[in-house]
Amino acid sequence: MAVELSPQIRILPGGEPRLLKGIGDLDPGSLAAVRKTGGYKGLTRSITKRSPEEVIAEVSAAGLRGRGGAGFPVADKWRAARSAPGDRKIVVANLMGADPTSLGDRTLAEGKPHLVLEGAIIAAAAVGASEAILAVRRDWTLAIERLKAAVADAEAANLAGYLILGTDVSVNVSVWEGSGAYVAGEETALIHALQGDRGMPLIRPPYPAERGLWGVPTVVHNAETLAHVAWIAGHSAAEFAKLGTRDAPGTKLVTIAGAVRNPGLSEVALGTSVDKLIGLAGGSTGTVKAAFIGGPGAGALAADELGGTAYDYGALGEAGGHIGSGSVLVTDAGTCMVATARFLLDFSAREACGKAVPCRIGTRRLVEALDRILAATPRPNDLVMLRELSMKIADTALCRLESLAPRPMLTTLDRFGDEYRAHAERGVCLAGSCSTDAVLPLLAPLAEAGGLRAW
Amino acid sequence: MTFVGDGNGNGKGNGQAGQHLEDYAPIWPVVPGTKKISVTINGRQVEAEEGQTILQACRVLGVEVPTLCYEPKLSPYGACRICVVEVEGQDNTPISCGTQITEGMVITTHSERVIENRRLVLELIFSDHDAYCLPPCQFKCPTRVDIPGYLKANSEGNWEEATRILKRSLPFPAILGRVCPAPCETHCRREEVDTAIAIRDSHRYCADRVLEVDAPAPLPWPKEAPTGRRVAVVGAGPAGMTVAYYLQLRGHQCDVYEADPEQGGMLRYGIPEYRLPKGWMDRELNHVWELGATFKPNMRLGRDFHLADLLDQGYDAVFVGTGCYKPNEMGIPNEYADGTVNALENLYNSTRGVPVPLLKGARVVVIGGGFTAIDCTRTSLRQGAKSVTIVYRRDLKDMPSQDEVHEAIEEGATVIFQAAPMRIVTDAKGRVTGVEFQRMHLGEPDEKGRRRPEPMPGTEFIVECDTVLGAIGQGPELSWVDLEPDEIRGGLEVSRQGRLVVDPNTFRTGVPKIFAGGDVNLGATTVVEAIGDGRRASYAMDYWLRGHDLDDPQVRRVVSEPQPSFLTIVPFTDDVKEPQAVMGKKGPEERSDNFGEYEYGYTHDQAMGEAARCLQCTCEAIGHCDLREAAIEYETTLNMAIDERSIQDNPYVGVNHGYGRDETHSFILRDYSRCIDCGRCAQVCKDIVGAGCYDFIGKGFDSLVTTADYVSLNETPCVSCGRCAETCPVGALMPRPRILETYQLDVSRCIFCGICADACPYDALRCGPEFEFSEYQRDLPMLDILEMSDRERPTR
Repeated sequence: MAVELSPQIRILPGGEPRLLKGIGDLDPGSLAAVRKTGGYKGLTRSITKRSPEEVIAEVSAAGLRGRGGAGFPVADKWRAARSAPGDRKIVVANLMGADPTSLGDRTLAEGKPHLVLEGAIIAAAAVGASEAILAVRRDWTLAIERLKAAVADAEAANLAGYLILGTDVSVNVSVWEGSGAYVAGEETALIHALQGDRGMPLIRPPYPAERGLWGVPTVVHNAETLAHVAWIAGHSAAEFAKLGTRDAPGTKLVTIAGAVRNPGLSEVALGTSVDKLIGLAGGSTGTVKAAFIGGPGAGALAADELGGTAYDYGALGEAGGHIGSGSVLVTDAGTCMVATARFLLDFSAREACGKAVPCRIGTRRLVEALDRILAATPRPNDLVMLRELSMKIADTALCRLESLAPRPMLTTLDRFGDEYRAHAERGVCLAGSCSTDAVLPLLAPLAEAGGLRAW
Repeated sequence: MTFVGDGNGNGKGNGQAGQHLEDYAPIWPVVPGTKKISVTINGRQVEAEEGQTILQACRVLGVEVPTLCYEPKLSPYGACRICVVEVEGQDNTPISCGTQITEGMVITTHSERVIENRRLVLELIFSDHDAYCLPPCQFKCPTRVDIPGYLKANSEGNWEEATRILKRSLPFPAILGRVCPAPCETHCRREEVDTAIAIRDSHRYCADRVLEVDAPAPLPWPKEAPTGRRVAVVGAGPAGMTVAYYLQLRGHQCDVYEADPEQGGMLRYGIPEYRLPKGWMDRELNHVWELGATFKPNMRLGRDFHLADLLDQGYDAVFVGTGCYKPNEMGIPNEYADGTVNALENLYNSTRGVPVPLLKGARVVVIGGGFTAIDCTRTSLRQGAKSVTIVYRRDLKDMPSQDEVHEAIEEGATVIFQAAPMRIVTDAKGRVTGVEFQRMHLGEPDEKGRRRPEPMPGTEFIVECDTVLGAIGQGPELSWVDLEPDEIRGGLEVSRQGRLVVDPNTFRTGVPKIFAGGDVNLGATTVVEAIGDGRRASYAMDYWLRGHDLDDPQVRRVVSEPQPSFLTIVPFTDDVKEPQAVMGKKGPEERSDNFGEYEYGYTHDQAMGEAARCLQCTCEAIGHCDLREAAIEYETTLNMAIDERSIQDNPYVGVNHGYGRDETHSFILRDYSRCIDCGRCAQVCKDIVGAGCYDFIGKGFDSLVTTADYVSLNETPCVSCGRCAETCPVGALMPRPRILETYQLDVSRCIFCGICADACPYDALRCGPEFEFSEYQRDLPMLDILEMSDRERPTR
């Protein structure tokens, strides 16, 4: 029996499905079915057979890094939170859908809510937290429904809540619904929102692991990271590291969109080359020109770089991209790089929370400069200004989203500077068409189902 | 920006790190046994306390780091990003307010990169800051007179208050109301609606109304008690009289020495009666004597006395304002032939009503395009000249006196542009018969933007005439310098242009006690420039006479009056069009043969109507705005003149917000256009007061710190405590100016419910121990919100 998922979720064949295994077939509403396929095995082992230190050591040995964007080692975060003084500690699962093109978290929440829940409870037990909050974007109604049901089922089965499985571990799990926003992908902004304030990033340090929600040590992970935690606990660190590279073990959910034949979500081993990702999505519809890797703050890689660049935390970053939200936007020869950069930058500018001056006004000025270039009416030193302003924005940034915002523009300026110059100096688009809406059709398969309203 | 703080916002300042450390008492809690850690700030190894942020450590040590969003009472917020510093080993520039110091940290607070990043923040803020510090008119006036202020009073018909406001920085508004070229009016923002405000004509009107009543002139502020200091002012012209006026007000005794028998200098001897009636002028200048200064006429410097004599007589300071009385030479053959008249001499005679025989019935050529040339032309006509031809080497639009030249043409003068004199043609007896000119071609613009005239050989022509008036400018007469003893002569420097050199900020010469200003320093310029110079010189002298060190950077900064100027981007479009009121004047026939004043001035209604047209584009927060202070410190001065708007000044100029003003609340005045979204009010209101009236609204570029759904403050839980206005670093939230009436309390109707005592945010009403005997008392000290708003304070 196929399980209904939100219509824009398309799971690609191939890849290395670990978290995605069984999604669409496994009934998320049936705890028995979930347990039959190994669900809550990891939780049981973690809290009945192992000390929290051992659980942290296991995650550390697996080399798991946060899948939400920054790629911070999970075990380090846990150790910091565990050793932070205080009786009350909190684990937050970030399901705010910051990047609307990234399907991973939503798919997990809809298809395997128990896996996310299990990961959250394992994390809570490991850091000594008695509360876990699943913060879900309000318009993910299906995900909210299934997560709530999962929590209720797990509590009834004594897999969550008070004195889990007869141990002295108690984790009170709640589902919190919040307005989705790009900035909610930033953990301190999410914490702010959870406190009932406007979601805006705070100064770090102190990091949330030391002082977070309500001033207590807080561990924030996205759903995918928690699912990996549950997977590691259910299997083993060694098993986890069988896929991926030495520096970046494990798998990653990737959303591949744009000029590809079959856009959708896939799970791949870290370290896979980028052009293989495009292959998973059925290959390009035309000639690949570039891939924007990492969501709204993506870095663009030119076609000739794709084959030699591994999708991981090291090589990709050196090439200018980053894993970020796990989205890959492929553009073909007919796509204008200036318009694409403008489109992504404009998203960052419009989604800015408005707190930091360089972000609130600076990103808007970058968009205006790109508009001038697209209209062939640039100011004399606009191209220089673009770089200088971007550099200074990164230099004075309050949060990571802000420092990443100019990246689509900077990386395309490096690789496709001639397109910028042709626009600015001659008013000619080397790609042929550069309407600022030209980029939207690239995301059309995802947009059809309404997943891109924010864009 | 150079306040040394104690980490809690109470600054007392100087710019040098480590100086005057005894002047502040650190309120940063010095807990015994707090671990000291050693850090390096700007290359200096210093000790700081564990737990301090970089900003706190810097402030305690007297190292200045600018802040906008930092509110000392609250935890760091990190919105403005202006307090960034460089920390060794960090890729980016972290903010100092939110970064704790650690052992061995190496901090640089003023590297090139940090300064660039701070400037970025300021430029970005200004690119979306539809507000002014000084309005453009005030900024362009050398005297910096409060133009919106007096226009406001004018629009209410309060001429005396308007004149009082004017006299705060411009002691002679009636005189300038007649002779000023009004640089203010060329930069009026009303121009974007219809036409500029007639600023000059408006102050002429109010000052005239005050002069015509027989009452003491309004004083800009109460005269201060005598200080016992004596000052000699040399020259009773605009600069000297201004110095005497302000120093007298500040309690210093001034003696004004004047070479001529009467006061006024160029005002009297250079400006014709028809432009400035001398009786009226004296009435206003006499205010200086009414304040107690003494006039010493017929005392020419170099002839009757020397500066050395003045110092010997025990003067504590001397101001030299001798002006420009030496005509420039044209440097052409026969320049002094029979039939040439010195322009200044002509004006000197004409203004006193003495006939000039060479002009009567003569054909006159006036060479030059300045105010002197026009004055010479128009006096020549009034002296009975048969014809007058003005010859100017540039174009009409480069002519300094372009407005008045039309009036001269109306009166019968002819003007020839783009021609320069080659020689004066004489007959056998050496008498002038004409002037030979050469056509000029306008070349590349010079640094002032005026196109440089270049000769065109072969285009020579002769204009026949009987009399030639050369009016190509004048310079200071400085022959007296050489007659001074060595110790004074050695300290007086004469520039290449023949002017006396003074410090541009403090007006000091190289000789102690001797100051100078006005035309003697500026060269021949306008009356308003000289008055502006005199005003600033008087402030510097006052500081000095009170024993301040003029070399102290803090004092220098005050006397130099640095000004940021802000770009205007959003033009006014929705105001009702109502063009400038124009003064009536006599027709050319009526005026060209006599020296009577030819402009009538406004009527009462015209003056009030004209003043009401002012858009009042000034900022009430000037004086305690952190943004302005930072703008001056980091030199982000953006040009605001319409023709000078340039992306060179601010590359980030783009769309901006023109938010409105909320004047609905009784105590708090809100102007969103000035808001820099620092969030301080929101934090203070929520975390300290507990009301939570403000928060960020909107997303991205449109984020704004305001009330929920932009409602009036009256609809929020506001308790009118004023803390938001107190913390606001700019002029977005201000205590609203109010005239507080005496409140009537009818005790016989009081039921002692206590609600008033509970509600009063300032404890002005309290429940006593025996409530039946509670009494209404006003003699206890109370916190006065108006007084708070006036206080100069570092808001950080």
